[in-house]
Amino acid sequence: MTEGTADNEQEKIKQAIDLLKETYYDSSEIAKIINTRNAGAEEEDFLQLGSKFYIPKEWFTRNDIIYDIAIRQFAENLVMSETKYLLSRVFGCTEIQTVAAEPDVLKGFLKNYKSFSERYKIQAIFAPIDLYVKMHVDWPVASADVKLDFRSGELIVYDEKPKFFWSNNYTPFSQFIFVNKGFGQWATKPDFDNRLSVSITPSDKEDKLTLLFLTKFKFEITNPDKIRILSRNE
Amino acid sequence: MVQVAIGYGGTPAEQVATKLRSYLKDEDLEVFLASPHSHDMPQGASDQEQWQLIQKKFLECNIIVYVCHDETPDRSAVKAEMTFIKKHNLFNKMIIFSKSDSCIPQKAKKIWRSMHFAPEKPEESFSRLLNEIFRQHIRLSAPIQAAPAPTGGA
Repeated sequence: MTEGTADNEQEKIKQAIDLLKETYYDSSEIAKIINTRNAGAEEEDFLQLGSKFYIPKEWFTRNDIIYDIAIRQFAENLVMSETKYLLSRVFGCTEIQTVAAEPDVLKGFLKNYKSFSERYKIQAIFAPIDLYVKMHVDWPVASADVKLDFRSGELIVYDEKPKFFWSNNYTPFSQFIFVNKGFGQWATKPDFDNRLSVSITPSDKEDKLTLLFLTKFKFEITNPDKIRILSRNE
Repeated sequence: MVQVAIGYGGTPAEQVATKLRSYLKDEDLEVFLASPHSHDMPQGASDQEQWQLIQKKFLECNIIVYVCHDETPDRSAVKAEMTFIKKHNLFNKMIIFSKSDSCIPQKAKKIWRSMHFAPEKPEESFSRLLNEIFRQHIRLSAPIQAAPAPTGGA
């Protein structure tokens, strides 16, 4: 075991805080899905996403311990939770139009894509992972309106390249969601670029510190017309 | 059921990955081995179909286990797979299962969760890996819940 100095310990704590923030800001998908704004200081009724954990003090006192993976995990979990929360609100909003599936999924997808994009630019699509191979292999063959960019691996629909978000075992859903970011607002305090607060402070346990990370936000669906859910029968 | 996708780098790693696939299946996990020789690949699938299926499984699964045996893996697929994993930010659900620390690029050591196996008896490390798979899965399965923020302050 190698011991660090007190200065070294403070520096490592600062590095851990910076790493958690950096990982969160690099990974957060919010700004790709919805318009964001800085909330005024007087605004109220905010929600918060975050956690408080005991972490071992020796992460910062010993030089042979690398805590990076654990710190990154906290940030990644927060990012995933943000997206899950946003989706749960979208699926729970009765004002959002849900279009019934057609027997031909490709035909229904293209029809809805076209009609929606004639009114609003589609900036993101949430898509069910079970159609991933079909959409990348079969659809470009079946329709000239869907192409696969072989260099980037991304799908092109009607010559547009919306950002796709795929369902997975941790964030399951079976519908398509067409998104124009103007459907809502994600307001944060004190401002969007500094919306995550992180602290590492002494705890009531001798060998532990308290890690607290928190983002305060207000999510409003301001224009449900700018988002559309395409359900599926399967 | 926990779903695990197994990738591998370097020819000897494929043997370890194949043994690991059997072990995890026996433990009742749903497993996909990302190999052109894998029983998990549909018969007659084209190269493109295989590659898209690997992408799908990496995105969908609960945990990716990447088996490394050589310091310089000889599969060009490794580069493509790792690029895909990085692009889609899947490192948080990836565990590197490697012969030694030297298999892992220096700059990735702080990013990748890793476990080592003895090259002559990798099977002896399978149960430890299984525990780590479940530990990691439990961490990822517990999203943070939104709660009302206390009034006032930034």
